[in-house]
Amino acid sequence: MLDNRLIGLVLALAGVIVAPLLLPVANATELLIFALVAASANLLIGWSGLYSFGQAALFGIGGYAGGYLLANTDLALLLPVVFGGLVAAVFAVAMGAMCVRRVGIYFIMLTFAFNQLVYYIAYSWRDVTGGEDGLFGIERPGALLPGLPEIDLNVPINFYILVAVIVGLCFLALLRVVDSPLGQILLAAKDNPRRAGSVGYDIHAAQTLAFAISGFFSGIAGVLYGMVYWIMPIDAVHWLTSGYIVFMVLVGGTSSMFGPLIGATIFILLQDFFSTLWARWPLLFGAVIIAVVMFLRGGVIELVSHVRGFAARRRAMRGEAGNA
Amino acid sequence: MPEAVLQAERLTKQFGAHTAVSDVSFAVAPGELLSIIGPNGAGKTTLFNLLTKDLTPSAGRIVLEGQDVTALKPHRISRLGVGRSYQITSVFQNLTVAENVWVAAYRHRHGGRFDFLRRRRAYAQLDPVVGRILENAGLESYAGMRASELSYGHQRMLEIAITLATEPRLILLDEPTSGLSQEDTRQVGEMVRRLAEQHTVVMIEHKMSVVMSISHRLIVMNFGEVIAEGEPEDVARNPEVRKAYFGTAAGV
Amino acid sequence: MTTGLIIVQLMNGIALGALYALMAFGLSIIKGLLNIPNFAHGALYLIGAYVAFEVSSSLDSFWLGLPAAVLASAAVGVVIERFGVRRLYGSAYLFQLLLLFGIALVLEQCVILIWGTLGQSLTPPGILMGAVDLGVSLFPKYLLFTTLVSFLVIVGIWFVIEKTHFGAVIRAGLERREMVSALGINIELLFTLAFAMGAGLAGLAGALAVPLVGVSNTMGTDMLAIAFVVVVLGGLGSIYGAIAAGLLVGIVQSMSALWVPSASTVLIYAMMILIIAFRPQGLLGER
Repeated sequence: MLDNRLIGLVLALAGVIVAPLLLPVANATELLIFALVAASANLLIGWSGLYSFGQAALFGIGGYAGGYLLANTDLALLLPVVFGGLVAAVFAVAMGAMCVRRVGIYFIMLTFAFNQLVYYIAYSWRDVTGGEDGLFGIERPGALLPGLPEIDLNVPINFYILVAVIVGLCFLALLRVVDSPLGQILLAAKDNPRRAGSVGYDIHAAQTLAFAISGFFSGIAGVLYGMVYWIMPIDAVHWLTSGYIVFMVLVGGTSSMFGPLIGATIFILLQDFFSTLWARWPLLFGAVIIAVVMFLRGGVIELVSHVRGFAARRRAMRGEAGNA
Repeated sequence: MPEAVLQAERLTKQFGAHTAVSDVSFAVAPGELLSIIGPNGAGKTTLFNLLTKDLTPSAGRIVLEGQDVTALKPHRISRLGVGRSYQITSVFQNLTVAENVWVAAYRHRHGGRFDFLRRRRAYAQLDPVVGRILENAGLESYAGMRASELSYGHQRMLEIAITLATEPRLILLDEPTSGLSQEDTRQVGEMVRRLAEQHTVVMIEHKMSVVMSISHRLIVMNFGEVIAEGEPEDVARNPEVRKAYFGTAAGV
Repeated sequence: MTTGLIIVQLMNGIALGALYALMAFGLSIIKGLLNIPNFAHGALYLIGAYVAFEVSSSLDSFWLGLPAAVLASAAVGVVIERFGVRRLYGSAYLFQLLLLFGIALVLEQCVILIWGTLGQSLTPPGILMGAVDLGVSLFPKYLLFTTLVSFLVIVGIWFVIEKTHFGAVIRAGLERREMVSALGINIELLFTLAFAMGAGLAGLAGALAVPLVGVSNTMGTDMLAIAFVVVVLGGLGSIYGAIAAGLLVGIVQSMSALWVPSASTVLIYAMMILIIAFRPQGLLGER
């Protein structure tokens, strides 16, 4: 388990170093940001069994809250970033507390409805969100915290490195969360909610907390996203974005926090590839989603572990044959 | 007479037009091993579900050590020291055997705090506790196995081990021997007897060999109602009970 | 604000609510029988709208466009059920969800490919043009027609479900899915029919909406979100709750447009949250 995690971290680090060499830096930056959103969504989907279709709401709220500060104040960078995370977390508590009381399809529909609520608020509250046009004028302040020396974040690679550091720290924090007692309790509650209740856990409270944590990191990702193109587009809170996030989590595999990282990479690569092919790229993308669901249920992570299990069995069989 | 650990007062549960539990009252004295018997569909498991609030009663009151707990949620009842096991094995299938017990032990020892900042390994003091519970249940060699991979008999043991890991004062066991072989049944029966030396136990059980040999007192249910109550020998002689119960399901 | 205006808005709301009810009713039937969240429902509505628009404008007959839309959406629904969701019965919601999301994406893009991104409008057929005098004010004939058709269809389906043999099978399926196959009924066919019925209702709603709001490629998504709200509000396991909730949402949205026009959409979501907070099982749901 530990060495698997170490391998994962080394590979992830290698990916972070290689990505800006292979992709336009802005796309590589987007990749990291979506990796964080997908990983935080997996705290709900994979660990809590909460199939949230409203992750874009958390992502977007963080983006608007932090982006508003970045566009209208001169605060040092990390303050709006944390602020975005906190606002999203607070909203996530309200959303989670309401949604976890329902299960199955109703839960999915409720999260979706919350997503649309946020979308329409963003759409109509033009003074703050810029409505349909998006929130313009987002800056990338040079100072991370008051008093620290300034970095020129308008140099793409500098910004990339900063995003990599923030996303990396957040991802490590998420790994800690799933490794904590809460992570274990969430898994238990996902497995058998009634039993988890009968040994004395308040399941709804645990799941609401998972929402809050997931919201916090998604919100931070949202703020970073607004800085990539100096604008928070309303598309970021659209339900399609929630669908894409679910796709990332599922295609990567939900059984490990590293799965969503792979999923986000696949998403960004496909999107880049398809969008250069054809303006109607969502059609190709939809077709890929359909194919993945029909033919690759467990996600890439499980595909890898199947292949590894298969290889291990082969080795074992050869070993036995050799002994005999 | 010492205060009852648990008191059910006129508990009733209706599903639509069907009354599954009808006006059931009883009290459990400290240290007692009370068995609830009755034919299938008599409302025994429903009664347990009411006592632990897995179901909400249509009418009646539940009093735990003098405190009215009728309005509490299941996890609150559990925290007041009521542990239960389920008739249909209800373990955490995708967790390892040790994790199953760990989750319950952590809840009891650390108050069910949702700590998300420290690693599970930081709670090393739980490991010997979990180890001891697994050992008592004869599961120590399966600690790292997924619960779903255990044999049925071992799952039944794990079911009880989870319940014990919360160190309840009052234990509700729903057919602990259901589906077990004769040999396993005898072992579980013996385990329940030992449990009852230190805990208050209420047990639903079908197997008369177990019930008659270890229970202090019996309640007999049929059609959602209590039809008899008393010491095992007296109940066994009760003609109404013989008609309702022994006539149909003796020795099952 | 005159009484006349309020009454007109109320009638508007009922007409709008009738469309929501059609959508949510279809979703509920699919949810109840097949136990899947139909994320492609908005796309089926969209297809209904565009087919109605195309047939009506090229053949110059709304009366052909309406049934054509229902048939087209139902046919697409059959394809989705047969070749898509059928293979995923019994797997986790997440897979069904993602599959239907993918299908919705493909269908929406296909509509854009065929009809472009430009919105268009259609006038109601001549006989439904103009308004009737309600005494307090004038009311557009077409809105009355929409309301009437929706309710006739809903009542028709209610009749089928409650009073016919086929309906008895559906009701059995709604209560206990496994029982139906035990009764020796071709459950696969039943599922296909249920999906086609739900899809056809979405197509009908789409077609009826065209003379009111025209066609645009985002109309499916907007409708889907509201239909979900309506289903959640309607209540757990209750297919008729969706009808009541649809009307409620339509009326609230339409009435609030009188006072806070910019926030009327936000308001229905806020209402949903309030109702769910105090009545988690929905309006007509059972706990």
